[in-house]
Amino acid sequence: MIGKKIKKGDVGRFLSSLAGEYTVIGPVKHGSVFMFAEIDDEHPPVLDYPRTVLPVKKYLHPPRETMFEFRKGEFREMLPESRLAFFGLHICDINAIVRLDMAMASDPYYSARRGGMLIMGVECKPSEECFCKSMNADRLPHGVCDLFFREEGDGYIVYAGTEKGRKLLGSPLFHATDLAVTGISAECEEKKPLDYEKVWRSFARNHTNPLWDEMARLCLGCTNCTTVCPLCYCYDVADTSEVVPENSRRERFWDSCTLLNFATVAGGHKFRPNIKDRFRNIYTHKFKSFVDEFGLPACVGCGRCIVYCPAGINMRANLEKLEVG
Amino acid sequence: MNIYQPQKRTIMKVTELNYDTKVFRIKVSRGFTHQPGQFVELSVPGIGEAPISICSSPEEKGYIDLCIRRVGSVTNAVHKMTAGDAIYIRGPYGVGFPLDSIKGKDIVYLLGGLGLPPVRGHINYVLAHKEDFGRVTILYGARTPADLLFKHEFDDWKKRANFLVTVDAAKNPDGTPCHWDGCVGFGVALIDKLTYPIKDAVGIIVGPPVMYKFAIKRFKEAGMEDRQIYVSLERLMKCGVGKCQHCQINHKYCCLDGPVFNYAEVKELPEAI
Ligand SMILES: Cc1cc2nc3c(=O)[nH]c(=O)nc-3n(C[C@H](O)[C@H](O)[C@H](O)COP(=O)(O)OP(=O)(O)OC[C@H]3O[C@@H](n4cnc5c(N)ncnc54)[C@H](O)[C@@H]3O)c2cc1C
Ligand code: SF4
Ligand code: SF4
Ligand code: FES
Repeated sequence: MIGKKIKKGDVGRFLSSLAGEYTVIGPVKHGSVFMFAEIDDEHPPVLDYPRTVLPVKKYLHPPRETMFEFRKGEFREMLPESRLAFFGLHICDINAIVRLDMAMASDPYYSARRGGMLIMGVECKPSEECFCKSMNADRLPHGVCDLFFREEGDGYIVYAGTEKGRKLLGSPLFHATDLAVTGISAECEEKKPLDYEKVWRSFARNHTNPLWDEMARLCLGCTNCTTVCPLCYCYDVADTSEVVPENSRRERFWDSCTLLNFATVAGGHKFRPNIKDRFRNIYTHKFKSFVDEFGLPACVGCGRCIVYCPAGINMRANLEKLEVG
Repeated sequence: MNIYQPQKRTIMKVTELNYDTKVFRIKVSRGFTHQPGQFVELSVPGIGEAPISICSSPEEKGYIDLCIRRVGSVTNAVHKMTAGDAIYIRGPYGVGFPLDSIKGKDIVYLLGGLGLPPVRGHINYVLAHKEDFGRVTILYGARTPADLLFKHEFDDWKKRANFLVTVDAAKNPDGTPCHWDGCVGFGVALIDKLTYPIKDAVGIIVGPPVMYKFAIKRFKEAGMEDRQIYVSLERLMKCGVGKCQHCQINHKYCCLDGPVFNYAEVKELPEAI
């Protein structure tokens, strides 16, 4: 892959040139944290950031969205019209999009947003909570990232991973260089990466493992981890009515398997009555069922769940225990 | 086509079965096919969506029957509807009960409460093709005599199958005593009344969540192997198509891999039974 060079000062101009066609989203500083938000001159992207609180999921599969409006006796699908350009995504977050695609490709709302989307990645600065290597998510996936930015002196070397990206590199803001790369990966510091297949195998014997009691003991069932996770996509559906059913909407919104009523059926029977059952379910979906379904874990080791767990539960440490136990 | 798109249909007929349960006949195209045990997602605009089993036989064409108990918002709203009203469905979804693969075999149904409707289409298909199957036994239990469903079909089932009914208590739903000539006791105990061996039969179990463990145990004591037993499992379902994750039973989806499962397949599956 041969890259082109762009001066740091020109990145803003390049992004502005996209603003006609796209809503441009990037990491911005918000108090003490970083979040993805629309970027413009007043809200410039910050490229040296550990991780955002919420992942790209908040745009692709938003916290709340209208699926149908009920009008004139019909459910009318409300497909979103969006052209989103994401700038400054880390490799783990790009891998998370690839995995979310597997689960949600046939979902019309997700695909409508995903279809016209532009992905621009940036090199990350791994922190101690990162474990992308363990989750096979430390390399830039092939043919997904339109442009990838790597810091180089007073500018960035930019590589195109798609046809769309190659066209964008035609802009006069990019200059020729002869720097080439093969394979872009994160500098994750994990010394002894986990083997997610081993973790997967352990689920067969691990349902009654006393480890679950130990690990779930501190869990508050607060839903923080599932909210910030780029690969937790459970949702609930409800109709809302403005007095008359002729003006009703069918909406869906994020849900979480850590909540008691997530698996409660009519009549009140609860299939996962204890916090331990629900805590285990997060892991089972991520490291057993998702792997069964799609061949990879529903985790990219971004570390968000570790950073934002009020109980200090460390998913990576738990996986390490499960791997052997 | 949007995988969540509810299709507008018309209610052809409403039949009241008892104080809280009605059968809604819904017009569908003649090309609509289903396996007994499959379900549709039923919508009432402004109220919501709920999974409901198709209770008519796959041989009845041009309509499907849905037997609905009034328990919450959607089901109460449906109960207010009458013939000619519009209703919205999508599906059918899921895996139903086996038919072709169990031809020639004896069948024992063990059904509790609202477990009868999902199986009724299967029963009526099997009884309409009696020559293709072995002996058929239907064991059915409900809470009280007033809770018994499809009473108008009992005579027919008695004629064509070995049909036994029981109630948990000879009481009215409000707890006051009532007149009842029949058997009193839990449905599972009806297995004791069988007069022929069922060890080679296919066992079909559908009922409230608490019933399965006991029912399976009794079938196994009667000599059935795990793989002869089929169960239909209920879970909270939102999407019906493997997306929302509500119906997950560990690594199986109740909406895609079930609701009907072969017991051998879910025996080791934690949280299933
Ligand atoms: C595959 C399948 C097939 C089914 N087939 C049939 C069928 O043929 N006929 C039939 O009648 N039913 C059937 N059901 C059950 C049916 O789907 C539910 O009864 C239905 O979803 C209820 O919807 P509702 O909106 O009327 O009730 P809801 O308003 O959702 O309430 C249902 C009940 O649950 C309680 N409840 C609701 N929300 C909560 C909560 N958050 N916490 C605790 N309790 C709560 C309510 O108090 C009420 O008693 C089937 C279910 C499945 C999964
Ligand atoms: S963030 Fe921590 S405490 Fe909250 S549900 Fe997740 S694991 Fe439990
Ligand atoms: S489980 Fe935790 S580390 Fe893995 S992707 Fe989700 S938030 Fe990131
Ligand atoms: S009902 Fe949504 S995944 Fe099964």
